[in-house]
Amino acid sequence: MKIRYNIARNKKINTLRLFLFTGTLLVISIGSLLVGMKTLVTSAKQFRSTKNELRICQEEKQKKTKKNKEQKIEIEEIKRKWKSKRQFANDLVSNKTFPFLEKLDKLEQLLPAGVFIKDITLSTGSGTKIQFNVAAISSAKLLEAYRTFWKYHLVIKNENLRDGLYNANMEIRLENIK
Amino acid sequence: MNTNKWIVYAICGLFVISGFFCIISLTYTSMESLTAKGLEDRINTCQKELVELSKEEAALSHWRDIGKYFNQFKNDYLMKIEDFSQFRDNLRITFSRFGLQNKAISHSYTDVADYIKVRVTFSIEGIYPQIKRFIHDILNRKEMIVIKRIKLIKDKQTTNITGNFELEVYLVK
Repeated sequence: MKIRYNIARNKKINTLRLFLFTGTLLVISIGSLLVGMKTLVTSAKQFRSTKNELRICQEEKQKKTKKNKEQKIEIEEIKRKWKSKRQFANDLVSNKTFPFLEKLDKLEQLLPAGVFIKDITLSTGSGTKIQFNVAAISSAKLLEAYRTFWKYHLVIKNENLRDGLYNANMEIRLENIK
Repeated sequence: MNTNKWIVYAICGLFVISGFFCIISLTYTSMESLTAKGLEDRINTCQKELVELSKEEAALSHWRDIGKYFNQFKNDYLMKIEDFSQFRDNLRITFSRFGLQNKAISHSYTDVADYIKVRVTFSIEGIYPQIKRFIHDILNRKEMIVIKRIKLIKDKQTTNITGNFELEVYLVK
């Protein structure tokens, strides 16, 4: 019978287990390092790209804001010119359609018999106001004319008797009805 | 024996360090992604503002185009400068057509930015219905001939009426 003694101070190391253990640790460590680095690199890349996108956007916005200020000034200038052009066109149309004949017709209709117009002025600038001189064959007729025109905001400016006729200078307001 | 021991220690150290590195990098990435989210929000806001600014740009092009409507109005309704002499001749013909006697006629020109304003003043004499027909004719012309002022004066001796007219004609340059 053969008797074996182990007189080694340390326990005998199982080389295969040691290699497996260290190998696994090494692989896990390298894997962790790679994952960490990849995450960092990818994230940094994405972050840089987002920052870059923001910078481009802000630069563009800054440019556009500056341009926009100039544009606003231009728009104000165009608006000012347009306003005067529009005013001109509107005034033109309103003057073109000023009812001269309707006003004359209305006056003809309102004047009582025995009263006639000596002169009359119609102007687009005076709006609804009409100024005219009338002559009446009697003061009663003139008063009748006054009564008729009274509801048209009559203003009697002057009245006199000349050559047997009763003359009056008056002003009325006739609304611009077409 | 000692060498093996140190190799194991080194690998364990590497394992710990790489583990920490991995955890730190993941934490850092998470924090960075939070910051990136904030940046993305700012990008969105910025892009919205850009859209608004572009709208204002479009408004400018609309305002730049608006002048064409006035030009169209001018071309459609204002008299062309070359047609003015014909208008003057035509006015005299119109006087005779309505049996009116023309006493005097004068023209004054004012140069305005987009057009020339011509003030035509004249006196005509005739009976009242003829003068009214003349006014009707002027008012119903297609061109923008505007009667600014009419003064009608009755003749003391006859039934005739003298009409002092002030017209305005606008000519396209």
